[in-house]
Amino acid sequence: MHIADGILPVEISIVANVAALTLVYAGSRKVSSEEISKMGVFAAALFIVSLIHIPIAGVSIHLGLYGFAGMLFGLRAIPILFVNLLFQSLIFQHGGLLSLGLNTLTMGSGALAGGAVWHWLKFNRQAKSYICGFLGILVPAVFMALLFIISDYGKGMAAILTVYFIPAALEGGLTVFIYNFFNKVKPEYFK
Amino acid sequence: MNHQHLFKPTTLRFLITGIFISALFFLCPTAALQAHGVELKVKESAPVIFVKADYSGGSALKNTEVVIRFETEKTARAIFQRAQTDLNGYFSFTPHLPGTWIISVDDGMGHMGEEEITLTEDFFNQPTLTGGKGKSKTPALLTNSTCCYLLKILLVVLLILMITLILSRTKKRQEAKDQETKDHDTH
Repeated sequence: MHIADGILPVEISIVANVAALTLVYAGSRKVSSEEISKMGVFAAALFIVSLIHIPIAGVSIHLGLYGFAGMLFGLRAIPILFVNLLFQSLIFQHGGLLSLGLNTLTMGSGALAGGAVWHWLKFNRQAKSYICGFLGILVPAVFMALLFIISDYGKGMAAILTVYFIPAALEGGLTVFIYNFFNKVKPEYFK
Repeated sequence: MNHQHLFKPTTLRFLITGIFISALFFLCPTAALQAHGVELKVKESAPVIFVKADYSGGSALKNTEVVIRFETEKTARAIFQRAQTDLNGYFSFTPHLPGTWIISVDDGMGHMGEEEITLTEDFFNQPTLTGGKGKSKTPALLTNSTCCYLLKILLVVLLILMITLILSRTKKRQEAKDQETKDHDTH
């Protein structure tokens, strides 16, 4: 889902960088030492899982855990994703420095959607965690399609959404599994 | 258990500096500091083109970005593929059309090399390597590039954890100081 440098217009990239940095600042304000440790460990784990690609049905997919990041950290997930994407672009050439803001906003939209569902809606937690995981992939895909449509790539770009339904469904299932595990070993994370 | 007793402050400082220096050592392309020019050796072996990229000093261009462009009689120059050399400076690609193929290597530190090859129909009509009857070898589980990939992941994880440790300790000190000031004000 990474957008490389030069794909979208520079103006959009600059605006996205400013917006992403503002969100990173908002997400890191008044953070406690305990939260920093938790965020750092999660960032490292996220970095590893996002680089393990699994070939399924001719395409290569990987876990994003954006929805789960939103469940755990809410707005604080944005700095985590920013750090991850920064290292991915610097070391693995996934995305680019100019499009770092775009990518942070894209992936961050999934985390924010997951966080909103988790914290604001009141119903069965298992079902909520599935929706968080599902939206964690689908919302970034919608956001990315919108960016491409705004940049005059044509409305056909919306077709890429269909590709993301399967990984989103898989991620939803895995998020339930991860939620159940964390809920057993560290239930205080979800209070 | 209080984790501050795990390491003495001096040991911790040494540990952090050690991890940081090792990370820098592995992440920096040290070979690039030793030479200036870049030499590209191209070998055509249908259907694959093999290229070896070396600095003029003889050391290999490790994990360096390679851009392959092509130009035919009917089409303008276009990017065919972006790739990376392996730890020994090798990379290969499989061209699909006769025409001019331009291979550029750039280590991002001012060392660049470019080579042009012209492929005719003859190249594409040659018997291919895979056309033989010999048994193919099972690929190794951990190739050089896989090891390099894993090493990079490990180093980034170490860097993230190190930054977290530094930030967390700084914040803890700041919190302790704030608490002290608060207590002082109350008394």
